[in-house]
Amino acid sequence: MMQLNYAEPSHQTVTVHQMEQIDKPTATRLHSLGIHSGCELAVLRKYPFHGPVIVEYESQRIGIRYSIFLALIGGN
Amino acid sequence: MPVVALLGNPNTGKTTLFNGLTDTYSYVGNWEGVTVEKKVGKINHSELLVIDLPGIYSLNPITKDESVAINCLLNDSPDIILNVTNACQLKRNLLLSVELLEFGQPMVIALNMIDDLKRSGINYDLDILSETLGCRFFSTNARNKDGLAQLKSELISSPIKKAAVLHLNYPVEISNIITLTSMQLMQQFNYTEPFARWLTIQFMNKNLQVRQYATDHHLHPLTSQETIFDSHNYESQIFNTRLDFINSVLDRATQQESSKSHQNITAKIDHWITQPLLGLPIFIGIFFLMFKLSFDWLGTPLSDLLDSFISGPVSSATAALLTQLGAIPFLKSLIVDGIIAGVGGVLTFIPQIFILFACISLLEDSGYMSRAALVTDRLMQIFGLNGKAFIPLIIGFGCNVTGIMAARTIEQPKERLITTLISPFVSCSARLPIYGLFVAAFFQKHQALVVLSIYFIGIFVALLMAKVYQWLFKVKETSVFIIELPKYHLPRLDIIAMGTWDKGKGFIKNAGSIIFAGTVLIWLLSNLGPQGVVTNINASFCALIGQAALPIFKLIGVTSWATVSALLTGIFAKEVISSSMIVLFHLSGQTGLIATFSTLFTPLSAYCLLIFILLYAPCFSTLSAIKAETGSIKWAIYSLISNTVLAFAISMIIYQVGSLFI
Repeated sequence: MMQLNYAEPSHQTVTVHQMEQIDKPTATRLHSLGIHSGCELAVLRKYPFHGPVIVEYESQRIGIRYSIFLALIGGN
Repeated sequence: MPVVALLGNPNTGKTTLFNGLTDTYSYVGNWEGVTVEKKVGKINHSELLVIDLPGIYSLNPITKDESVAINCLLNDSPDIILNVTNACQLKRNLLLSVELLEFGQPMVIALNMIDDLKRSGINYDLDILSETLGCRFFSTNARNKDGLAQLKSELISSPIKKAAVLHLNYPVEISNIITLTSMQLMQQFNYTEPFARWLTIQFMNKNLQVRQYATDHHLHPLTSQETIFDSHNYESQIFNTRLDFINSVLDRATQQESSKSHQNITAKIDHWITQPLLGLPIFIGIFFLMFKLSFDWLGTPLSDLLDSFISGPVSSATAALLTQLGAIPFLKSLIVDGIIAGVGGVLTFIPQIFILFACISLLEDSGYMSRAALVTDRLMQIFGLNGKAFIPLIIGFGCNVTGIMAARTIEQPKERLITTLISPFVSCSARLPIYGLFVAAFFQKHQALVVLSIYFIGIFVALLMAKVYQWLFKVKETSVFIIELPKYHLPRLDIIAMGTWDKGKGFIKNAGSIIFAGTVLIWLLSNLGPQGVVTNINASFCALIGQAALPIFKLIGVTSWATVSALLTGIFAKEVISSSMIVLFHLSGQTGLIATFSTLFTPLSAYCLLIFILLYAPCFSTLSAIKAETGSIKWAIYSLISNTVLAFAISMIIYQVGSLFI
């Protein structure tokens, strides 16, 4: 059942393990947003069919692609 | 005249601040070196010029938009940098500030959106920030004009003085290289110390624009060390030094006030708007509402009112006046049947167009646009594009030229080229008048739906062509997609009004220039023939041209030469198509035209014609934008030909297949 009342949900957090496997422009952009190895991201949303992921870091919300998200947290 | 450059991250409210600082309405300046438009304004009662530049995340540009800002820094060297920051995200905003402070120009930092920060219960000690960073800080809330007066008087009154250049404690190895290399640059090229140091740091940091600059200016001290620099991963050491410095500054300057429990409105709205399953339906719903408002509920009644005013009192009063003045019939006909009917016919669409623009401005101002990019990203991936390409396409609803310019925020060059090439298929506001005439004549009951279907066909063809181009250009690189979701703002009327006017003024300006010229031209061509002035339009130049091309157009259901001639004039500007038709059919305005249409078209051929108008050759302004953005006239010529062929093919298939059933 879909919840109709809004309640601040608690979100899963993940740690950024590496940024080396990400393409250069994406890594540069993430750096500019202050994201670096070791920082903690709260995962707010994941879209179906491996769509984008919304993460929160230091009160900024950022949408990134699923593949980048996986690479950040250490998968391939 | 001293120049202040506004620089800062995207979504920090630069443009709002710009509009607040410059009381005079901004004009768009074309600056030397780059054929790019920047907004320029003047602070009232002063000699200060302010330039509004596109938002940048760092001085290392990834997008074309960012290169514009950095070029301004490198080539125009502004006298003062006004660094606009989002106070809530000061840490990452300061990453850019540090780079700018190292540049050594006098700088003022505005902590904008200060109200959002206060609401979160945090406060920064501006004195500590000023002292540690060596530049003045001001807190502002540009949306409510808070703090702008102080900022303005600081910019006007303080004499421009040399700034204290920021020197960070980079690791010893890096420090030594900076000192040594900048010494060589100072000796060999007469650079100032701050600029030489800044060049070295940026070069080590793999700043592509600076590397290009070094190559162009033969800066051997830098270029000879390129491979050595790159093998040492200095980049991440530089980044870490900066981040550590910023953390220590913020630790000292942060004053935690009472931790207020605040209601997070953005989170609440996003709970629904970005809901994985509802996001896309909500997006479609919002656009459907936008079209209903523009073409059904509000826009059309207002347009009808304006039309009855222009084709009624205005037209007859002018005719009476001209008769009284004793104007010759030829001139009277030119003014009444040509200019008032033609240009006036286009002007009646102002309500619909401005309502559509107001809706788009509202979406931009509220912060919804980036959510739209997010929810459409997965869909756009199928076509090899990303969600960000959706924004230029939506802006293209207003005008394809601005849509093409908006494509500058796309990171990958090939994706940007593809977005530029598919942009003309998006139905711009100039095409609306002609849709309006045809739906009023043939699709009375379903006006909004028919217009919406045309818009969707435009988007669909655009996406399909994107896929074709992906395949043709053999695009392999994956696209970059990182999008910030800014906090929602309660839309402000003045900001929306300004945005609407910014988008719509082109339409009104066109009415006075190119539509006017096109209308007069078509009127002359239809009243003159090989034998001079003709009374029978069938002997005019227009008829000759139209009839020559008519056999081909019969394939898509066009049976009158006048329609063909009108289509040809559409290449000047799409608005001219409807004014040409009014002139060619010798009618006093929309109402007469609608009645004439029913004898010339069937609903099927009318719909096919609309599709042809949607897709065929882009107008001159769009063609020149394509040329400017791709840097080659070939793409403009290519668009002209390929779009016309495609338009012809699609409308012919629909007409021929449709004729079998209807």
